[in-house]
Amino acid sequence: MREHERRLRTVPGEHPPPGTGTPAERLLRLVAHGDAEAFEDLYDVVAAPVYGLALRIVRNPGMAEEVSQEVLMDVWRLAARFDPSRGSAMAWVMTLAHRRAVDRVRREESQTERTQRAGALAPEAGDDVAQKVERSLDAARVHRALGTLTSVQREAIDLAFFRGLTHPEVSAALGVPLGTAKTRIRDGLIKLRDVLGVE
Amino acid sequence: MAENLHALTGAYVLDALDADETAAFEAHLAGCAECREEVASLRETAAFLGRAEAQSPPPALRRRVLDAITTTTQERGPQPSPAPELPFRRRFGWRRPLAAAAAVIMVGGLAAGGAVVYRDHRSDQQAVAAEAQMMRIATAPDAVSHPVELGTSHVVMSLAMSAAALVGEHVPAPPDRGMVYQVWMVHGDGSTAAGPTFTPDDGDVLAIVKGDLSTVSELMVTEEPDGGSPAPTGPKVAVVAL
Repeated sequence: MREHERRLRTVPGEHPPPGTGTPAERLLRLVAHGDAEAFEDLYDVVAAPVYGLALRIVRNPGMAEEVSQEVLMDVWRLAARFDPSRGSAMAWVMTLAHRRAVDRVRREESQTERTQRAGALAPEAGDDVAQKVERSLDAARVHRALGTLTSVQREAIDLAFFRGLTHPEVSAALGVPLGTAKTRIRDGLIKLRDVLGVE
Repeated sequence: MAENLHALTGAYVLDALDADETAAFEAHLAGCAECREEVASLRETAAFLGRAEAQSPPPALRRRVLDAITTTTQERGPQPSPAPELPFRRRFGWRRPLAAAAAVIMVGGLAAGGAVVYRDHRSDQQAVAAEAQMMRIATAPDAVSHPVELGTSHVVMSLAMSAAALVGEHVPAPPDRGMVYQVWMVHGDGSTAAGPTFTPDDGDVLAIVKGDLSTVSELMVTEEPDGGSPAPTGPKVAVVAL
């Protein structure tokens, strides 16, 4: 990603040069100083990714909307915590979104429900992604990248990232030892990172 | 031990650790640059996966969130600077078009001969760059602020950054048509160095002055013909002793 390469040129601990970074980063820096108009612009950049991820995880439009509101309020409240030397603005926002969505789904559904639901869905994970392939270039790239993973890696990531399972739950759902679940999540993500060229 | 913890980067990024494991891993992260780097890159990867799911939220969410932030206090940043008083929250009308700016802003031609020129007919991009620069100056550890008798304005400056920003609102337009304001750095020996020209945009002004400020005894604003002058010619509008 070109945006990402550009970000990496920022030396940690230094103020980023003015006008550099992705649009989202510049906006987030302004938001950190209480700029409501910049927040409005940032909303337009991040709301769809936030809502889409929340919806995928909680699988209920009303709940996804509530989660999205919490996340976007977090973005406003916590913008000053964003540190461009530690990652992109989009990754920072999506980290908040994932955490909120996963918290919500864990509160709403018992472990059994999630595991059963996950168990029922896991074999279709490929199809689930396939349906969305045409949605965007990103989705197509993700789909191709997921295709390079082993099925255990792919399912482990699907269960943890999109279903909100903890790693012991992933291990139970896949019938693999705990250590294996952790490792598959990690090496699966590393593989995705390398295939996607995310850095 | 560390090796074990190292294997948790993926599960950590996917929020798949329980509270105790998360705490242990974060303690480990603080001292392990390798893990921090891996976590950062895996976060970008996870964000990529998440972004591929993007779907427009119901339109009503936008209004609700924008309304809610007006009554929501922000957590203060970790900057240790003795934040100088600044009209930070002014609503720069020119920020609007930034909305979907897909292109990366280039700061080309910003620094010209020691003084940054902040033109009247600046592009939005220059405006954003200048504003970002103003924020850098204002958050510098050695930032100090002086009031300026020009509307409601301040000069905030950082010796370490060799830069100052004149920021203000309710600034009247130069009294004579076709004239602009210009900032000057006045040295102890009376010599002057030309700074940027500016005119109020709906009363708002922002001008960035760059140069070694350690020998500058005052900043002066005069009225000059459009385009500015190499040396002050017009009436003195404001003087700030540094």
